[in-house]
Amino acid sequence: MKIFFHFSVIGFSNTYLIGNTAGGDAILIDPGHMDIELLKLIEENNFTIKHVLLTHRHPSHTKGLLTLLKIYDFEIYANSPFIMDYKVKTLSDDSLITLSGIEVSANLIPGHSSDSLVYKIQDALFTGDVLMAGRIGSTNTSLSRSLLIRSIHEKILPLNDNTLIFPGHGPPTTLFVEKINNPDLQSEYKQ
Amino acid sequence: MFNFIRCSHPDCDNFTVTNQNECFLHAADKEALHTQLVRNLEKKKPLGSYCLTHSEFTDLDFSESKLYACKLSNSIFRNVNFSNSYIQLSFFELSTFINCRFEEITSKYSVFAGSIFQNCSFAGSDILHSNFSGIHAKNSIFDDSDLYFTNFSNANLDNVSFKDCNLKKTDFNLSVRNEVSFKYSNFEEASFTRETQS
Repeated sequence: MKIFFHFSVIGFSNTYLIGNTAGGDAILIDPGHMDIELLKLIEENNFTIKHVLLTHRHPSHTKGLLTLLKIYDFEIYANSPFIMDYKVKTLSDDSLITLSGIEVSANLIPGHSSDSLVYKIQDALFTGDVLMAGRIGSTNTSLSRSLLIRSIHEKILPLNDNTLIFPGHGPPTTLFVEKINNPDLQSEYKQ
Repeated sequence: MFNFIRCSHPDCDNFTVTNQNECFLHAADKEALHTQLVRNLEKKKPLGSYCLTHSEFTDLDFSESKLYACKLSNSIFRNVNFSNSYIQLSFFELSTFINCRFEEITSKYSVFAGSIFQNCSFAGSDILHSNFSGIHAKNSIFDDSDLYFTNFSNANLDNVSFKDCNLKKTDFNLSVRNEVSFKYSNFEEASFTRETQS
């Protein structure tokens, strides 16, 4: 399996391209912006986008769909039934699916948004705006923050410490690093 | 990406050394694996999707290395020269670096979080979108570097120099800084407090 990382200066968000080593059908996670660099990344690695996974509905994670749909024919997966008027295959908590020959599990972690999903592919966890290096996602209310922290504790922290975390914004990290280093998780541990 | 295969040793969760059944700690012939990796890096052979963690490297020249999607975490590096190397999507977290040179490197999307840096130089480097959160750095230099979107949150920085750096979107949130210089750098474009994420 190959994982490629693309950074968009529009929305400052990360898009991930995942496919098999030989190329072929591939998954794109959170196409916040479609540009020539992302197109080159896809084409030069002989990938065809067949599945798009969205961690949540915010534009910095979805807006690239507008252009992508003019180039590739793919299915969109998210927790909402529609994103930008596009029909979506809805994934609920604890979903397990095989896309482009790759097994993907999805977990609902609400708090930053009500439809926030994290996707796990082998030992790589794509966390969108749920968990980033050194911080958790922003929330509008203290209730949402509590919900987010509780969900992270219940569904992410029990995963293996070696899990690699690929967030929607900022650099990658690992689960163990976040356990010992992320102040948003440390303070709750002590409660 | 390196294979996410677990060590065959009971109760060990470490990833295996690439093309082996055990992690480096439980490998039967550690020396051969270590020597092979060192030779490849000294020969400037590009290293892709390779995993070997919990090792030690001393007095080595890994300059002009090319590392892509590698994991060399939890290791100790003493007097190792990584200058002019290209490091992308690679993991060095929870390592110790003593007297190491990373001058004029390019680091993209790579993770050094939780590591210790003592007497290390990253001068003249492009360190973009990389994770240095929770590091303990002492007597180290990042001068003349582009640190766009690099994360130093929760870091402990003692006598560390960031002179004439690009600090746009560099995250120093909750970092502890003693004798840290940002002279000639655009520190006003760095983040020292929490911002709302979109």
